Amino acid sequence: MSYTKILAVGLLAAFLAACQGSPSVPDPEPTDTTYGDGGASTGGMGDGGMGEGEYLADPSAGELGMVIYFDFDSSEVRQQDKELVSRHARQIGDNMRISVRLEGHADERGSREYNIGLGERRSQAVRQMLMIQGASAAQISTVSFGEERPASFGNSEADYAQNRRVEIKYTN
Amino acid sequence: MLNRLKFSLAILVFVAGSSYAELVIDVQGVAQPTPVAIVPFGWEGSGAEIPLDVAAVITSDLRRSGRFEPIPESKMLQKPTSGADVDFQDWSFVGVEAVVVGTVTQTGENDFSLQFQLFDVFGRRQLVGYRMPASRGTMRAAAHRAADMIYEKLTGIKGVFGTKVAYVTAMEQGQKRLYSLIVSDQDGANEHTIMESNDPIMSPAWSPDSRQLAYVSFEDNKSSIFVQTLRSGNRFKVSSKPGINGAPAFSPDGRQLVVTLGGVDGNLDIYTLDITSRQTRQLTTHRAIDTEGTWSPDGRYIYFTSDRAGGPQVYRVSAKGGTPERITFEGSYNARPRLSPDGTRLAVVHNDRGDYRIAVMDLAEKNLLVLSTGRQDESPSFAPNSDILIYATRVGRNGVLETVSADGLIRQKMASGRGDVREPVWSPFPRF
Amino acid sequence: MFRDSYNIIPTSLAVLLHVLILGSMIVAYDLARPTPFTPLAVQATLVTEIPEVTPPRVVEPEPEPEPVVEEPKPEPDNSEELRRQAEEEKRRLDALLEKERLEKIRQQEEAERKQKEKAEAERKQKEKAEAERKQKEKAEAERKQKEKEEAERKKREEEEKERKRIEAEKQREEDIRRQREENERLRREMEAEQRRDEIDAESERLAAIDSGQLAVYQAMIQQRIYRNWKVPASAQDDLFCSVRVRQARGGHVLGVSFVRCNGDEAVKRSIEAAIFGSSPLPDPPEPNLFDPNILLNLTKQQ
Repeated sequence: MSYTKILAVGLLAAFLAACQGSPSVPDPEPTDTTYGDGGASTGGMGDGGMGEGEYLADPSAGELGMVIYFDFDSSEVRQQDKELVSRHARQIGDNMRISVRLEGHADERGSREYNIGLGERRSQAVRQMLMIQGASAAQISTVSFGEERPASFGNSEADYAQNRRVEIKYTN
Repeated sequence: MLNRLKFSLAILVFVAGSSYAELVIDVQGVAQPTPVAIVPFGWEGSGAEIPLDVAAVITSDLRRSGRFEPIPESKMLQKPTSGADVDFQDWSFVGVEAVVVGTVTQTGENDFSLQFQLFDVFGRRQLVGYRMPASRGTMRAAAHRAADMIYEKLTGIKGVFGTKVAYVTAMEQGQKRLYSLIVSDQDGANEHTIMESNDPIMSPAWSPDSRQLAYVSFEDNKSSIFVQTLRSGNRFKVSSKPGINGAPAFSPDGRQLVVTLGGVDGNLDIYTLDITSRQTRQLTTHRAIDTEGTWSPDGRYIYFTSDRAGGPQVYRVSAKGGTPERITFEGSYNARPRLSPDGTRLAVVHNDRGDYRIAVMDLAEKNLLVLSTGRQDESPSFAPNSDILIYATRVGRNGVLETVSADGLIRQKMASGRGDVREPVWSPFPRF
Repeated sequence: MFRDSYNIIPTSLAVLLHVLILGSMIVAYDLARPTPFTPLAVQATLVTEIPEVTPPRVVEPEPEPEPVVEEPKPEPDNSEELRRQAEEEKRRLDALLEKERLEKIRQQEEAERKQKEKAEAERKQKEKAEAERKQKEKAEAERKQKEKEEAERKKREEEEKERKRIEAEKQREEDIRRQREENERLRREMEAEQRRDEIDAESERLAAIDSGQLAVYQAMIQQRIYRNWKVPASAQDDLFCSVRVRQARGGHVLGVSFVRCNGDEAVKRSIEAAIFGSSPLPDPPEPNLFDPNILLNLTKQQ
């Protein structure tokens, strides 16, 4: 990597780090209401969607797919996705300053917290594979949204297939 | 002489025969709501209008329970407001089994007295009567209290009309989604937003004194567990360890939570967490997904979901720690256990031939009864009288709340105009 | 044909027993009609305390201040001056005396005049008082007259009311009497019916049962009760209640008594409501199928 690129990455990282807001707890409501509003203000970057601001891939790597899909009731990385995971692993492993967050998801069937577990299992499967292939544990964090952030809102099998996934988000 | 003897003997035979005669008739009745009359309350005070239509609140409560059919005002032949004016003949003619009459009397600038009496029409007697002080602001709660007393007198079951429910809603806001944690009266009135976020909110849980809610929030793109005091809106984070923090539930003494922690390696396990000291104690160690912990009402056990046997089933472990034992054996998927407050039954999300439905298992009999009829039913929660469950079902794309009686016979949809509603939890009985 | 085995004492005892039983069943009595309704006092949940009243404080008046007396100063001596002053004094006194005398005369005249005026005023006063008195008397008499009329009117009203009350009372007694007579008549009618052609009735009855009419009658009552019975949700699956119903001819339900019932209060209330709500029960297709006693066996559909 050229010196300029490292500088650019560093500056952007600093910028992004500063922008990650934390929720503020508001003052209590006046006494004539029963409930205060513990509104969590969302951090500027913390909308959690497909935030383009967070994603920064190495342009030299070309277009890398950022989503890995899973079969029903499975947390095994499919054969056809293993190559993709390898390329991510190499990219991450090559640069200790890169961090990724693996966001695991499940389809909506069944109970919610158990689905958090299923999503986490999938994130962990990808994480293990990345670590085996060169990424270090310190560079990878996982989170699971279970069924809470579906990519597709219907209830057909095709929708469910879209939701059983892990999204790779580069965080700096 | 002989004829007279014949005659008297014939009488004897006839009398003997007919004194044992009795028409025996078998009737097999059908369960139906009991017809009752809630008469509009009288009003004595300044101002033309009664501060609250108390009769309407009681009528709505009793009707929604599914056990009563209050008759419309148009069918009432008379509209007494006190016991002395009740004419039982009239009411038996209308066909109701019980009548409620009452008044609201103004006793001060902002003070009132609510009085009601419940009468048994065919027994021709008063069953219960009370007088309660109320302010303008607490009038609705007083009406619910009256409904509770009437309900309990007529059915033998403690009423829950003064309790609350908490639930999460999700609404589209352009490109983003707005998640809200909401508390309302059990009839949907008095909605208050407790927390709002563009990141998901999950798993609300009531503290035993009804003053706090624990919940999971995904703010900052990670899961954290918060405990928030309702009256003040103040909240504090009780768990935000690396990895998953989820599925909080209060202990019966309110001092601990059972939570799910995943850690860096993502191995979900059950922990107890002391709210004051934040100290945790691990209860499960299996590499399976162990989550959705809940305390038994006597504080002795923690029930949870585990897929250590392949698919999710319900297990329980001593709250002091030990070896978990399996509880559910029927079907391939039983998750999200919740115990009834009287400790006798267990509600689960159960896969019933492909559909996810709410089922209830008697812990003694061990038989599983499927209560709901949807395809994506989830999040069952018992009312504090153990007689009703609330859960989320789907209508089209949106989640909708439904209640069902514990025997499965009475089902009611809760009106909702709030988009996608999920994860309802019923509050405990309020502690005054 | 009974000559050989005829035995008078046990037989008559048996007859007596049956007559007593029959007689007691014929007399109308209430089985399940409780005491008249008295509204119970609503239980108060709050008792207010009466605040104590403190008596007002009595304030002592302040003592009056003592008056202060001053001593007079002594005068200087001067005799010539004194003599002149005495002459002066004498002249002054004479003038005064004259003045007094004139004054006295004037006063006397004044007094006489006043006296005359007073007498006049008194006379006028007397006249006025007299007129007023007469006026008062007149008004009084009128008022009394009115009162008297009013009292009379009231009295008439009262009498009228009383008369009406007595009338109503009489009417009510009349109604009660008629009702009693009616009941008496009904009872006698029932007795007469039972006594009339009992053997023929019995055989007709057997014929009716054979022809299925009894089943029709049972079904009619069953339908009516079934339609009116709202089984509460709390009723257990193995609910079984056996209830005796007494009916008069025409179907009017006279009484309900539970022989056994494993249901709760709500269930019992619903059964009572169903039975009384079904009154009057349907008439049988054949009059002699009528039975004053009905045994209802109530269960719950699964």
